[in-house]
Amino acid sequence: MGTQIEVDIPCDPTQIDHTGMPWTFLDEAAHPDRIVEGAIVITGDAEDPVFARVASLTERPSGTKVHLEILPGDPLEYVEAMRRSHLLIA
Amino acid sequence: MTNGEPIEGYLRAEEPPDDAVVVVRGGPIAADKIVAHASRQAREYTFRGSPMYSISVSLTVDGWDLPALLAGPLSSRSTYAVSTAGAVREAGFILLPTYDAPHYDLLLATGEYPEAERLLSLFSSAEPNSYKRRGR
Repeated sequence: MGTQIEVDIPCDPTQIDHTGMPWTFLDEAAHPDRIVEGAIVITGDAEDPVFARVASLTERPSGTKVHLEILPGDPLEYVEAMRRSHLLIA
Repeated sequence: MTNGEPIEGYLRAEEPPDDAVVVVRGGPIAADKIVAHASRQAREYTFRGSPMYSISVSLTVDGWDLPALLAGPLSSRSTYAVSTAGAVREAGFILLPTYDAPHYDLLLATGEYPEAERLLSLFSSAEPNSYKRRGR
């Protein structure tokens, strides 16, 4: 039985706004303090996670809106590349 | 009373034909995801002065075909499902052309679970997205 995947901040990568970027709310993050501009995070959902860079945090009447830049590829591809280059030992 | 921003400022003047393909994102295609995403949208946007319960979908309009949608707006999604604009509207759902094509908001009246299940019954079963982006 594997460990359950926990995304840093859930989003629907197809849910965009006028910026053309997907967005979500900061208070949905598992650990909001990790969600800072420029941070690399796992988003989407546990069933279909993706890497993203936090593009911006904007105060809105409804809460802090987080815009995300979805990064290419599957998260496991990054892990494989890191293992190949010995940046990740395991 | 709502704090949401009116979506009316972001609408395109466009009426999709009944045979336009409506693509909903996958991973997974499930009612609970529809409810969660519609609720998030309603927290941020209004339509006609009320919270806008909606999900993002992509349509085969403005020169976009299905492969282009799967390799473009859907490129990070492992699975997808399709319906048609005609079937969705016939069932009483509204398709709002928002932001840039091919993006639409598919409106739900309540954003609750039974309505999400009714919406999903209009779509095909989930298909793997063979265009999912595997890196540049």
